[in-house]
Order: sequence, then C-alpha cells, then structure tokens
Amino acid sequence: MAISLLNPKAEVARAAQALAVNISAAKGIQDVMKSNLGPKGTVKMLVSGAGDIKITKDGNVLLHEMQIQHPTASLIARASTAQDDMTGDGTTSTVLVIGELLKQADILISEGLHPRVVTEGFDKARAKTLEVLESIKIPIEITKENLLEVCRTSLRTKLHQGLADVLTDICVDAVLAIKPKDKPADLHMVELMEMQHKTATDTALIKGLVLDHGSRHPDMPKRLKNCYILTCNVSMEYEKSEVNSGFFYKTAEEREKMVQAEREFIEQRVKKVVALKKKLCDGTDKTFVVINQKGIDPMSLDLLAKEGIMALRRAKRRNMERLALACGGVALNHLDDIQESQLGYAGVVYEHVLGENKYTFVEECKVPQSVTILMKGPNKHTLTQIKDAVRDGLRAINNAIEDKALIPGAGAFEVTAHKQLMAYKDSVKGKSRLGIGAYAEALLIIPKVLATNSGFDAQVCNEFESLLPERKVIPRVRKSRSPFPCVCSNIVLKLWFMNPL
Amino acid sequence: MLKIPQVGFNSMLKKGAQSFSGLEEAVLRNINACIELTELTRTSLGPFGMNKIIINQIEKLFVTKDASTIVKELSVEHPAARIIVLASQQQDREIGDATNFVIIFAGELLKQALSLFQLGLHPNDVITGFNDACEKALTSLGDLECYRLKNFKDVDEVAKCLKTSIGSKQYGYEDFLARLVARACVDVCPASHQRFNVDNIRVTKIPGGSILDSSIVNGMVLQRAVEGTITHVEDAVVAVYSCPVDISRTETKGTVLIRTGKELENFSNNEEAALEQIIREISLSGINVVVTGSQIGDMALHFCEKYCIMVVRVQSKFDLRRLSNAIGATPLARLGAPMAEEVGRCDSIKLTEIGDENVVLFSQNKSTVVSTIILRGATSNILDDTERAIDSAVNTYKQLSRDARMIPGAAASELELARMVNQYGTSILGLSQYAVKSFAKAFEVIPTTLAHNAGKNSSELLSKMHAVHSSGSVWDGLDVNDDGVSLCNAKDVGILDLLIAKHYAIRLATEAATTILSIDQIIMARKSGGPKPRDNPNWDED
Repeated sequence: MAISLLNPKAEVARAAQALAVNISAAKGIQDVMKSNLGPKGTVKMLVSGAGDIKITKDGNVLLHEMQIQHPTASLIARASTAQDDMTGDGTTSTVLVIGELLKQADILISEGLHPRVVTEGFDKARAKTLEVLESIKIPIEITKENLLEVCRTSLRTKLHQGLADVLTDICVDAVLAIKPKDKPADLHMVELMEMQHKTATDTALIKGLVLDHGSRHPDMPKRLKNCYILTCNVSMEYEKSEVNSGFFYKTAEEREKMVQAEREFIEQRVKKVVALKKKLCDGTDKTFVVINQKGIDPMSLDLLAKEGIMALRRAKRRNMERLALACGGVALNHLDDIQESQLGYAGVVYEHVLGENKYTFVEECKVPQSVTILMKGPNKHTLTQIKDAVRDGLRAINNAIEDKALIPGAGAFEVTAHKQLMAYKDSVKGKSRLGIGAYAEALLIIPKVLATNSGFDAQVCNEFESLLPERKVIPRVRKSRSPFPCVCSNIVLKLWFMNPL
Repeated sequence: MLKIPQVGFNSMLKKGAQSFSGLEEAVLRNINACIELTELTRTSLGPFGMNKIIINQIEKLFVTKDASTIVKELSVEHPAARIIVLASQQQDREIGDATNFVIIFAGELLKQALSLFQLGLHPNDVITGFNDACEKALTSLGDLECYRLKNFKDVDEVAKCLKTSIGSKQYGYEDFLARLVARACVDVCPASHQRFNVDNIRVTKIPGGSILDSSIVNGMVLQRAVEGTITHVEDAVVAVYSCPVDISRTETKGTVLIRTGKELENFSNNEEAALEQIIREISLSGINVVVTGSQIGDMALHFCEKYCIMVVRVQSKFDLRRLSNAIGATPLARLGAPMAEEVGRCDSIKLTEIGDENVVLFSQNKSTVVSTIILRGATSNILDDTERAIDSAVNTYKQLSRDARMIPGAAASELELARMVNQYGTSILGLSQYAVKSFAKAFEVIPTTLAHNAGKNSSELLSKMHAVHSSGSVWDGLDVNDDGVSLCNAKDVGILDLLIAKHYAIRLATEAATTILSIDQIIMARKSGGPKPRDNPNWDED
C-alpha cells in the first residue's frame, strides 16, 4: 500500500473495516450512556487516577472524565461537548442519537448502499427536522412558572427528585435576580460557593455574596449590621520598592525613625479609611466593612480592628466585580478623596466558621444584581454533583429566556418528528429517501431509552405515535428548546464518512 | 503509538482504565466490599469492643477502637467503601461521635439490600424504600427522647450526659473522665451556652502515671520551659507580643554606616540604650511577664531579667491566640509599652515539672476562658486513645449546647426504631414495603453487635428486647455487666446517647447506602503516579 511506502509503521484501516471500527465505537459509547438518560436513569461512579470519586449521570461530565482514547469515540464526545458549550444540556441525547444514526446507517450500508447516499438522506432529513422543530415550538412569556418548568425538567434528569426541586427554585430565583432589564443575563454573576456541611437539601440562595475567607484579626467584629461596604484594590501592607534600595543609618534613633517612616506610608492609607468611617458612622448605628483585593498587614489590621472595622484582605478579583453589583458602590483603586457615594451597602455581614475554613456572608443587599448559590453537601462528590447540575440548570433557564420558546419534552418531539419525516420520505424520490427513513428511526431512540430506563417496554413509542393525530399526547414535562442534537450529529456524521471513503 | 482500536467499550478508554457495569459486576461487588469494611469495625462497637492495632503508611502505630481513626488510617481504596468512609468522616466533623454507627449501619443496609436483590427487587425500589424509612425513622427519633440537659453549669448533670460517649471508648474510666471533662466544659462554658467553643478545652498529654492521675488546670499549659531565670510569678500582668522582642528592624535592608571606631562603639551603646529604654517602659507600665510568639534577642532577655520580667516563648500562632484569650490580652504587633486594655492578667504563672517534662502553667483562680486537661497515662498510645475519647465527650457537650435532647443508649433506641419503622412498613403499598422492612431490620444490627462483642447470645437478647419493648418499657437496653443476657433501663442506669448524633448518623448512613446502590457502573482510571498536587489551605497565613 502506498502509505506503507511513506511510513512503514503506519497502520491503515480502510473502507468497510474503517466503518466497522467507527460504528462499533459509536455503539459502544451509546451503550455506556444509555442508562443515564432521563429522570430514572442510573448514575455512574468515576474514579480518577488520584483516587477521587465522582458520581454523576450528566452526559458531558461523564464524557470528560472517562478519558476516552478511541479516536472516533472522542469525536462523538466532542460533538457532545459542543452541545454543552452552546446550551448546557442535551449532551446524553446527542450521543444517543449519533450512535443510533450510525447503527441505522450500518444496516443500509451492509445492504450495499453507498455511504455518500446515506449522508445525503441524512442532510435532507436534518433540514426537515429543523422545520418540524420550528413548527412545534411553543412561544412563551418569561414568567417564573415557565422558567420553573424548564429548569425542573433539566435538573430532574441530573439529580434525584427531592434535591432537583430544591435547586429549581434556587436557580430560577438566581437568574431572575441578576438579569438586568432588556439585556441578557451574565451567568458569571451567580457565584457558586461550596460548603461541606449538613445535607444537600440545605443548599440555599444567598441574595448577596459569600466569600470563602474571613477577617484575619482576632479582635475584629464577627457580625455587623447596617454596613457600608468599601471595596478596593489598594495595598495596605509594606511593599518593597522595585529598585534595589537600602537604608543607611548611624544610630539606633536614626533607625527608629526609618522604621517609622516606612510605616507612615501605609498608615496614611489606613487612616483615610478610618477617617471616612468616623465621618460616616460615628454617632449612628452604621458600621464599616473593608474588602480589599490586595493585602492588609497585621499592623494595619490592628488599626482597623481598633475602630471596629471588619476588614477582609486578598479577596478574589472576580468577587470585586460581583461585590459592586451586589452591594452597589464602586471598586476603588486608590483611596484619595473617597466619598459616601462610592461605598456599597449591606444589611448584615457576618463570619461563619466551619472547621478550619471561614466564610464571610454579605447579605441583605438593597438590589442585588449578583447573588450566590451556597451549595451544601456531606461530601465532596455530592458537592460536585450539585455544582454541575446547578450550572446546567442556570443555562437551561437562560436559554429559555433568550429563545422565548419551548418544545415539549418526554420524547414528544422525537415521536412527532419521526412521524413527519416518514411522511416527508414519501415525497422524496431517489435513494436518499432510505437515509431519511433511517434518520427518522434513529430519532426514536430517545423515547425508547426513556421508556426502558423507567422500566417500561421500549415499543411504547409506537403507541404514542398512534395517539398523536388526535393530539392526545400532552407533553408531561417541558424541555428547553435545543435544536443542536440534530445539527451536531450531522456535522459529525459528515466528518465520519469522509474518513473511511 | 496509536493503534487502530479494537471493538468493545474498554478499548475506548485510556490504557489501564477499568470499568464495571450492571447489577452483578458493579452493585454486588460494591456491596461486598462495603460489608468487608463494616465487618472490620463491627468488633469495636460498644464498651466491650476490641481495640485494633493499625500501622499506617508512614508506619505510625495506633491502638484504638475509635472507628473514624481506624478507617482514616486504613486509607481505604475501594471507591464504594470510600463512600462509607466519607460518610463516617463527615459524622466526625459534624458531631464528633457515633462514627462507628454510621459504618455499621450503612454496611447492614447494604447487606439487607443484597437479599432484596436476590428477591428480584429493582435498585430503584430499594432506594425509594430506604429513603422513606429513613424519613420515618428520623421523625420517630423525637419520640424517643428520655432526658434533656437543663443546667449547663451543673457538673454532675453534665457528667451524666458525657458518660456514655467515653464509656464506649475507655470503658472502666468513664466515671472519672466524664467528671473531668464535665468540669472543664462547665468552667469554660460562657453564660449563653450556645457559644461554647470546643477549642477552649485543651488536652496536654504527658506520659507517666496513670489515667487516674489526670487533672485540670484553669487556664493554659505550655509544654516548654521559660526563657529566663524567673520561673514563678503570682498576680501576673502580661504583655503579649506577636513580633520578636528584640531591636526593631526596617523591612528594607538596612546598612549601618560606620567610619570610625568611635562610631562603632557609639552605635552599640546606642542600640543597648534604645532597647533598655523600651524594656524599662514596659516594666514601668506594670508588666511582669512578657509572652512572645517569635524570638527573643539575647540582649532583650538580659534587660528583661534586669527589670524582673518573666519571659515565655510560644511557638504556635494558635497557642498564642488562645493564651491571649485565656488571660484577656491583645497580641501586639509592635514592641512597646501596652495600653491598659491590651494587658492580660493571670493569677499564677509558674514553671513546674510533671513527669519529666517542663511545663509552664498559666492558671486562674476563678473563672477562665480556656481549660486544660493534663492527661497522664503509661504509654503514648493510651494517651492518644484517651485523648480521642475526651474529644468525643467534649464534642458531645458542644452538641448538647445546640440540642439538649438525649435518647436511651444500650441499643434500646435502635430496637425501638426498628419496631416503629417495621410498623410503618406494614402500612405501605407497593414493592418498597420490602425495603422499608429491611431498613427496620438493619437497626437490629446494633443490639446484635453489642451482645456479640460482650460475649452474649444475640438471638436471645433480640427476642427478649422485642418482648419487653412491645409490652411498653421502651427504654430497656442490654446490660453488659451482668452475666447472661439481661436487660436494664437505660435511662435509670444513665446510658444516654445524643439525639442529634443519631439523627445525623442515620441520615448519613442512609445517604451513603443509597448512593452506593444507585451506581450501576464504575469507571476507574489507571492510578496516576507522582505526588498529589500540593494543597495549601493556609495560603493567607502570616
């Protein structure tokens, strides 16, 4: 063979053999993911090389963690990842549909049909399916009830029901809180904070911010009410000059002066904060909190603690932006002429100690545009499970808000599409209609697997179909619109058939 | 080099990865592994539980029957068994007691599930049933309350509540230790008992003597000698410094500019004078003890001696903070005379020798914020194990301050729960009834194990207990002291368990068991070599 002349070590699989390898990979990965689909799907346990446990049934997480090496399988995994990047949901479905498409194609090809023709049929069928999707979608108002439904559907496929229902409320409230009017929401403004404590159903939405560190001075107040919040990025610790410098002195007094001069510089800054606090808070019941992105050294902390100011140092950068949104005010980069208008407000700020970890809650903000989902769970794997689910839930809500349309879930769309494709198939001439038929069959994998996982007969979808004309299949649960499974799978398919040909 | 792949799922994964799936391969395997683990800790339950010797990976020796220590040092690798271990560790973190219960109960639930699978039940049915039964058990737990701690300042009453927790780990010493811990807790417990802090009870272990020689100090004990020659101060006025007690330094590198010998001499004199000035000021403000969290210079020590100031070094930052707390001082970040409100006071500070160790005792005559138990014992293993028992007891007090309800121990409450859940089980329709009843049956593992460990006939005990409980005396449990199988009223004998501990334990065990049951596939990557990535939780420390 030509290639072995060029590179004697190369391995080659061609035509039928290549196809067999590819299809077996698709089937294999489909088999693995099948049992995870739907609310009654089972979970898988993944153990990483370092021995960390992960328990999940989220398709995307699984594909990432399984460390797939098979080239074709990883191609499918990438399609699924693309689906996750675009919508955050429907990843397991993508894998299932791809696998089934190839399975159906395999039947046709083994009968002697050229792969090219099958692809052509798939292309046509895809266009038609997208049309069906447009026609079936239900436009919605963005109301809380609608969003709750979308989010519930998405979460129940990822977690057990009790927990999913708790998280549904939390996610919807979170998105509604941060969404500015007439502008898309920035989901990064929902901070996800983990706390290994109590049980998963104790997860809560904090209308404010939770920081994963506390003040570093034992005498600082642990709980303040009615607080001004100063967010700043100003160093309050001694920093060395960039050039190489040194002090020269002759006597101890001289050195003493130098020591003082060194401190002076930092003290000036701290004093500005203290002066502002005195001006605003003295004689009132208001209190003062400083949240600094840079450091505050022990002596400065001391000065602040004496004034009853709570000070947090080395806050994360992303939290500075969130703080400004949650409490109002501006994140300052210098402390020259600071004014009241630049400060934020929070009803209560307090510290919570959990074992060796400290958390600071900034709560009861006036109009929080950044909120925190405080996830609790008895162990690490529960926490990561919740985190993955919450992320997907938020995305599902956001998609619904942006699309303003839903389609029925619970396999209803797939059954409808199947029916319409079969009708469409009759209107097409030529061999490509075989491909359309295969595509239609492949879509049915979703209701079939859903049925199997819930302990029903897989052929249940046939009955559905007979009921369809009278529109008796009222979708039980709704799903956010996700047209991507079809699109992605087809792109992948094309890539696929290019390879062996 | 990448090969053209073979057919089959395993070939898709990275080399060395394993995957197990389905009921046979994954679920049953998991259950068996977990049962192995629970068999291990079962023999350590209760007052007559056996000790285990564990040598961990750094060859440290442990002799203990504290389940959380056993499983922690075992470094369990099986992923499903790890879930149970994690549950018991969480129990340790939340409550600090009843860790063995979590392991044994979770293991028994899985054992019960195994026989349900053999009956042909689907894992989903079992899980729903277990969750239902768990809710039921948790609500019925409230009905079992038999005692409530009322006075958090009464040593006798507190000791009564702590006895069971110590008795299950250090049987024979429980009366003595419970009183000791109770006194320590009561001494440091603030007026509003919800704010009791576990950290304020310290344990200092000094080998030698016997456990009965242990005692309490109202204050702190530091296991080191003082710096200077002054070893005893009464009515001490203490200044605490977190910085070094020495000549001050600039942060930027300083250079002394000297041209002549005269200047050199001047400089030294100067320096001495400056330091003496500072120490004199400190002394003038009434201070007679200086505590530093850092070094003390030779010259500074000399001047301290000159002004009759006792000097103590504390190396741990946390100890320094605790000490300042105990004597009411504020740690100062800069050397100099402290203000009146920054000064700490202590009734007596002295250096003594206990065993062959030098210790500095900071003791207060009356009320104190920190209490230290000086624990004596023949070997370091005994000391470690007793410390764990004391930790459990202190945690029990902490939990009592949150929820003062107690339920009968000696397996009485488990048996009663078994009865209640079983009754509930008969009332449910559907397949989950089997699971609920199995859940009830699983509770019986506690009386069985207790009897077993005490060398008694467990079947006889179970039948006796069932009979007595159904006739209405629901507080009757196993009497381990009597020969033969006999019962005693747990409340009267004073065997009391924390309600909240049992609450968490049942919940965590059920959660762990259902998690394991819901897994239908395990995928394990090949073990990666090399050290773990460094995890530094204290990145913001000074």
